[in-house]
Amino acid sequence: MTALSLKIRGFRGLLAAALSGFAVSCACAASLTWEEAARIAAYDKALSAGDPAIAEKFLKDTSFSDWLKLTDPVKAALLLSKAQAVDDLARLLDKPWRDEQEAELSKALSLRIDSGKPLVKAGIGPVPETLLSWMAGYRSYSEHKTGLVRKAIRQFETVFAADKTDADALENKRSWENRTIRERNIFLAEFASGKLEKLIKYETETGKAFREWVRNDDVFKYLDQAGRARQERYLTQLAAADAAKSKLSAPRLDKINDQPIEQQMYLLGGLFDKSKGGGGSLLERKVDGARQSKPGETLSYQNNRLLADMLRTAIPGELKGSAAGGRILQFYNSGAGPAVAIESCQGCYAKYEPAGARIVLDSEMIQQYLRVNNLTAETLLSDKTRVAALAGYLAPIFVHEATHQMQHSWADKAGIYKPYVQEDEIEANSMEALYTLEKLKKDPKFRGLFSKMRSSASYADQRLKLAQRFSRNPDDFSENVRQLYYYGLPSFEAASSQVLWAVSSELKRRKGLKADARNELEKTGADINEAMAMTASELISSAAGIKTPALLKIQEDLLHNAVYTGRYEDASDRAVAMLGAARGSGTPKTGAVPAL
Amino acid sequence: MKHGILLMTLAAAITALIINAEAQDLSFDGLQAGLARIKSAGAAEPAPAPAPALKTPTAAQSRPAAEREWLVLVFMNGRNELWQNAIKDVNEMELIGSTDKVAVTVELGLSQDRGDSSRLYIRKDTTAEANNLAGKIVSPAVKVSGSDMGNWKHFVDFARWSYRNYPAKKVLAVVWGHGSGRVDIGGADNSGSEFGISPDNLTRNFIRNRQMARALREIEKSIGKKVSVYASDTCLMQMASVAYEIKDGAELIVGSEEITPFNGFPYSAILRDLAANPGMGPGALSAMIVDDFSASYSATGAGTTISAIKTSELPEFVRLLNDWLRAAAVPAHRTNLLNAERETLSFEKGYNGNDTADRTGSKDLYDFVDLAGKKAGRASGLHAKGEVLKNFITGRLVTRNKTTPPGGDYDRAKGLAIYFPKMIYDQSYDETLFSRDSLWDDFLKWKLDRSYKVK
Repeated sequence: MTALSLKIRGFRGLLAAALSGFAVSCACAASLTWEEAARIAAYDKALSAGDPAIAEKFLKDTSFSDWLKLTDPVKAALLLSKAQAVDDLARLLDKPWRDEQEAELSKALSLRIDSGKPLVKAGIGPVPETLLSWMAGYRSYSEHKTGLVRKAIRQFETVFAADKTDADALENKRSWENRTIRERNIFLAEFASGKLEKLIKYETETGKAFREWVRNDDVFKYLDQAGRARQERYLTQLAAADAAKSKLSAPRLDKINDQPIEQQMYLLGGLFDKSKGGGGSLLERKVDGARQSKPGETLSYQNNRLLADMLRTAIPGELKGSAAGGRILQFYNSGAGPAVAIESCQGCYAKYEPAGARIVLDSEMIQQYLRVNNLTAETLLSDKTRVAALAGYLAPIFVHEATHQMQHSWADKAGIYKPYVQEDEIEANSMEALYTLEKLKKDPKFRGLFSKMRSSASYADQRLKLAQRFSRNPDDFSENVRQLYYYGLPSFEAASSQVLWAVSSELKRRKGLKADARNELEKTGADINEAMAMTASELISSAAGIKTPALLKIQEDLLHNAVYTGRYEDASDRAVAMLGAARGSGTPKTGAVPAL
Repeated sequence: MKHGILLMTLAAAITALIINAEAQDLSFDGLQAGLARIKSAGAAEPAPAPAPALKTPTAAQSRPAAEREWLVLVFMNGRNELWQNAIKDVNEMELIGSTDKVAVTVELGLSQDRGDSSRLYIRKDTTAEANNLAGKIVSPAVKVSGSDMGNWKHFVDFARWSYRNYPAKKVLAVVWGHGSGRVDIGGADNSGSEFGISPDNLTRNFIRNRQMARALREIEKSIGKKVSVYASDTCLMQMASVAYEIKDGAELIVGSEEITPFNGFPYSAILRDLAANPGMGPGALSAMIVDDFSASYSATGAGTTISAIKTSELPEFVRLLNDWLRAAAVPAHRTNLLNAERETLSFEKGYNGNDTADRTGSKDLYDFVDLAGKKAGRASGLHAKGEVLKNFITGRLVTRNKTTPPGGDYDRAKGLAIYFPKMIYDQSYDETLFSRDSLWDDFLKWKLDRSYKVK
């Protein structure tokens, strides 16, 4: 206990304040010494006040937390959860945030500040404005940053005209202030997306001034991630349609001009001569990239299965000869090979599905490739070189998703619960960027393909931009991933704190249940296998219906967070080392994606 | 999807309200007005709602010693403007409650619940307030924190919980809320504007048809038996591609081809009739739901459709449909078919506009086949094959079909809708099991492009 006694010295100021809670702590854990109980109470009190310095101190005080994990795991988990939540919030806000990142910051805050989240127990949320009080108490941010946070939490005055003082306006304000950030964002995003939807469905205008308005209208800053993707797609379509229409004669224009954008694009696609293998002019490719497939261009169910099967073997063939690809191949060679499916991916280019251990590639992305290159499913499937070219095109995103598969495999082998977090994406994006950089340098066909496709496919453009960002500064890459791409995903610290909070709160509640209710739960609840397969949000919502041993197992896993953080650090170090090695072997210098 | 809100999310509906009311005003000023209107309309405003009593139902109070005849589980997604109807429907259920032969459970998600749904065991309301359908919910409930009503796994979790606590010989599973038929995995513009069934406005998630099929499989695996009757108390779900996707997960599928009125299923009538005859089989129960639904709207003048489909007949249906399509998709019939399509009964209240992301674009299959046969002439092979198909639809596949009002256009609705794009084919339709096994996808492509070969 010497070490403990020494560390307690730093808490003398808090001890007195904590004594009121001490009796309760002592009653709950009779084996604790007075000092130990007081120390727990001091931490609890400081963390419940949202003190970020104490949160950081608690997280670093591993000898104490390790001791507490053994002595009272539930208490340890609840404290750790609060400390992680507060520390994560402080880290999030301490980052530099630019004005144009208001939506990203808002989303990131909404993941953390909401009802039922551990930060509520630290006095932050669910009312969003409590964050401003916390900032005033513990942080000295610039006026500019504070202003940005006000916008990010969607404070009433930053959203609505504040010059109205009638009863309705005041009632609206009261109503608004009762909403969480998530609820405010949903309201605003749905308003914005409704407006965008109306344009997409009915508007026929495509001119430059109109495009500028669509790009800059104030309402659209409230679109959510999916809405912003729709806006981008719409703008791409408008620009392509406008450019294509400028080449048309008046009679042809008349047939197109009174149609909404999807129909305009579709009709424009029919005006090109599609006989040229490998794709037509730049304008033709842009139109083809941004329109819907025609009946002969879709992937039938049978062709879909056939192509998926061919890609399953063709993509690994493309990975050979690169460091990142080699790592993926090593993984597959040590177990079952990859399983590939082609499906509509709901706005993503690809995803890894743990339940079926398969990588799903977006069917629209593949059809877009076919359209841009004047291919049909039949002409593609009948030519192995064409399939190989498509495999090369898909390989970067495959590397990305295969990295996620490796992460799941690691967790399975370690027998631990793994939430899906930003750190997973940092690793996957690093691997993908490494692969792309190597291929750009070494493979002229790959370089040529991406050079051609980037003007007509956002997939290709984004792969190149990601590689460039990684190459430019791998040290900043993780922050870029967090703030630019995956702000809608929790950090490990945030996810861990929320799961721990839900699990440990449930375990605490369960102690108070009568024996028959507990027995019933143990008989009918979800078992360990079901619980381990749940996402973090599913686990949080299902905690009350999960058997106690499963909850204890997950609590135990997350209490020992060094297992996770150690892996994330290893992955980060490995990526930087691989980049260094690749540079040494002639891969491009920092910041230089090969000229396209 | 319920009446009046054509395949729109709450916000889209609000936006439409605002935009329509203010003509061409697309300015940002509308936002504040929107906020006021939502409040006055009572939608989406997080306000206190009649709360279920948060008391875990115990074995002693709720479960009989023996397995019951029926478990009725209702996954009620009111995380949108339908929340008041959700409360009303639970109150309707409480007019009857569970019995020793029939257990009724509800997963209740409301727009003002902040993500915490309630899991209820429905008990008969014996208080003086029982007939107040907007009143307090008296059934014991378990709070489910952070629930996602648009997650198929959550539906499975609720079904498992229901069966573990209230086992029964037969299961009626109802999904309550919005529905958009075949539109779920891409939409015509594949841009993330999908809708599916059971969209949750809070989590922005929804259940796709493919996921519903998986959910039903998981439920079967968990409880050791297939769901006897699966019903969608939503709009537009009674489509060929939807039924075919989920056919292996239930014996019968009940749903509507058309938009459903806000009031949805008449739960007190359904539970009353089931309580009176709990020994009825799945076929009888599905027919009874159709009858009670139709009876509840027959006097209102509302245009409604509802039917029950026997899933075991779907493979034979596809065989006969393919047979008909092979005869139909030839140049000689092309003009007749295009004319027939134009005249065929359209759903979404006769929507005849553009193909868009969230339009079902559905028409009645029987009506189309009937019109095509008439145009081809009685002596034609197409007419003969059409008669076989039509007879199969009404005689074996659709076991019960009712429409209101009598004598209206909906008389032509025979219980099964099918996808009909106008110009742009939704490429994600290719990924359905219906496209795998039927020629309907090929037919549609041929319809849109005469050079396309139906294989």
